[in-house]
Amino acid sequence: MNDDDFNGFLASALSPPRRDEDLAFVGQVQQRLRVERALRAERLRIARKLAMDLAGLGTVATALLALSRSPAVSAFVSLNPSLALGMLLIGAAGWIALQAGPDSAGPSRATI
Amino acid sequence: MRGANDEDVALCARSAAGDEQAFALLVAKHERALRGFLARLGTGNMADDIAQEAFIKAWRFAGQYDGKARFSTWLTRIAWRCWLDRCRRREPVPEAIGGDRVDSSERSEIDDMLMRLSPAERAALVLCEGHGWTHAEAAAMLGLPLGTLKSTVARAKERCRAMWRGDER
Repeated sequence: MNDDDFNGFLASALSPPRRDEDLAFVGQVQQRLRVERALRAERLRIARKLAMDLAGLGTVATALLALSRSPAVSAFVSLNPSLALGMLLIGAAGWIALQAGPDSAGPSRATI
Repeated sequence: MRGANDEDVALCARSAAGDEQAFALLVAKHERALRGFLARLGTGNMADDIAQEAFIKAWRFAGQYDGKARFSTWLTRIAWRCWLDRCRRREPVPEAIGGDRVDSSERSEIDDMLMRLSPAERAALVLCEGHGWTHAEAAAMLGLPLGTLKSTVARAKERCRAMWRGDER
């Protein structure tokens, strides 16, 4: 065998397989694509929710700060510190209960 | 070349807009060559997994494909990077090399030859000698300077020729 034979052997052995398109493989890629899209949508949903939560927390903190600087509220807190603390705790508990509601119970498996 | 790639450019643009059917056509058109290339790199059963990963990345970045190179060049470059990433992460890559066209004795001989080459030599040889890519295209796919690619192919071919003659055993 000479160099031409070798070149022919190499080209023949290394060329892509001769066959029809593999529709099963195409289907697998499409399936992975759907999972990829669902995961991306889920990540987006979580990011949006986090942004909303942070915005809500910021708003509540700002409101509490503004309230605490009000002379009437300051007077009430100094007169009834236990009651003020209790109200604050009830408010915090309510907020936590709202956050832990069914709508925010982690990623939705139905979308994946 | 430009005309032959126009269809791929159009399909890729539709894919970037979210058209899954257009992307399925691209997958069907290019999976044979891509999987053939990856199988020759020595990835064994991982070839299909890496090919899928490459197609998913192509889908994700379809909007960045500008049509300057052939779609298959762009896709093969993605797949080559996926393969290198797997190697860097030290994920187990089976040594078996596969192709489903040649007869078993020829396959065994070529597999034996390829396994003695470095990954870059193997990839360059398969692309240029088996898949018919030009040196410039293969250099773009593998991210190598043209001169380096040419010398890599020449060296790989020479080593295979020596093995074929029985000089390097």
